[in-house]
Amino acid sequence: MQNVMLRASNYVPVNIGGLGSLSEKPPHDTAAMNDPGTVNGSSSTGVNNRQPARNELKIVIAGNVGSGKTTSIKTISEIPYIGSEAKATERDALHRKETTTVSMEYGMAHIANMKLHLYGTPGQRRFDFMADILCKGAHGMVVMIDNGCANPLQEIDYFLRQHDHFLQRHPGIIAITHFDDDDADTNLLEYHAYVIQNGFTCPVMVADARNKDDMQKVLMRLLLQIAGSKTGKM
Amino acid sequence: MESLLSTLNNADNRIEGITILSTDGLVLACSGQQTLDEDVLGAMGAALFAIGSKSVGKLLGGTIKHIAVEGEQGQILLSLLSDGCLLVSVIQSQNEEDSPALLAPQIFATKEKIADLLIT
Repeated sequence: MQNVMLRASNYVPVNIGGLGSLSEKPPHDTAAMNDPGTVNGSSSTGVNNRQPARNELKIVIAGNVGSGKTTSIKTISEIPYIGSEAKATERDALHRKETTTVSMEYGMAHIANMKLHLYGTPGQRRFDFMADILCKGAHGMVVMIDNGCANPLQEIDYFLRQHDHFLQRHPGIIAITHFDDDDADTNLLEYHAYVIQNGFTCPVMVADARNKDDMQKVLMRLLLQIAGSKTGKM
Repeated sequence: MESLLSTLNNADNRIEGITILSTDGLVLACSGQQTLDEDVLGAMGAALFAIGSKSVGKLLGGTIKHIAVEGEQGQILLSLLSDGCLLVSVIQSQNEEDSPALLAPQIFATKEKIADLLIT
């Protein structure tokens, strides 16, 4: 396993298997420390004095409808997945899915000795406000894009712009799913070109949301970005 | 159904808006002030209900009946109408002593009538 020094939200260097150390950098989001919604926040009442853990990170998984956000969390989570799926009313607009996420989903996984709290956002645009809530106190983001949708570059554009502010301060990874779908005709080079031309620095990877190894690779790549204090936008 | 919504909406000027929506946030019927963005109301109602419903299931067991979210300026009341449908009411307080919760019986009575209509 690779060795990485990670700086979690309490800004104490954390060793992930001993790979290297982080450069000094001021905290990205001091509000996150006091946000009761964050995983590392401690109670102000003094009743629950849980100290911020040094090896825990909050990761947000965003992306378009049908890109596999729910599937990826179900695939990788070590605890029973917590979701908020509702019966899909507009099935035609939702890739014939039976259900759709309406508020958030949660899973937890360990990678490289780090405990990752995974928060999935709804893909439908009317729930965009949930993504803003879930990004509070997060350390990184995976943007999943369904390569088989009508216009994947338009989708990537939408989600990168929606999270532009977050990605200026935190790292992000773009995971392209359904890459080999018959109706998919956007190649990886086009995604890379788009990302670079628009000033983003997020690595682009191909992943199958049903495949645990693939999702671990995506999250490991994100951990390396966090360890290197990279951001998703120049 | 819409006439039931407007009757309730007009019954008390503290009711700013009342909406029937699917549990995935699609607005099916709405009555209220023009200032209230019904798409936002639909999405936020569905998100609130999903979190509440999941919490009740995990922490208490059984199914959810309703959720009341109270703020300084009023209350949002969400009730389950039937499998897949919600009634969301936005109630403004008129002053500090005013309790929007007092309107709940009236809203629940309308909810029952709408639920009966949905069944038939």
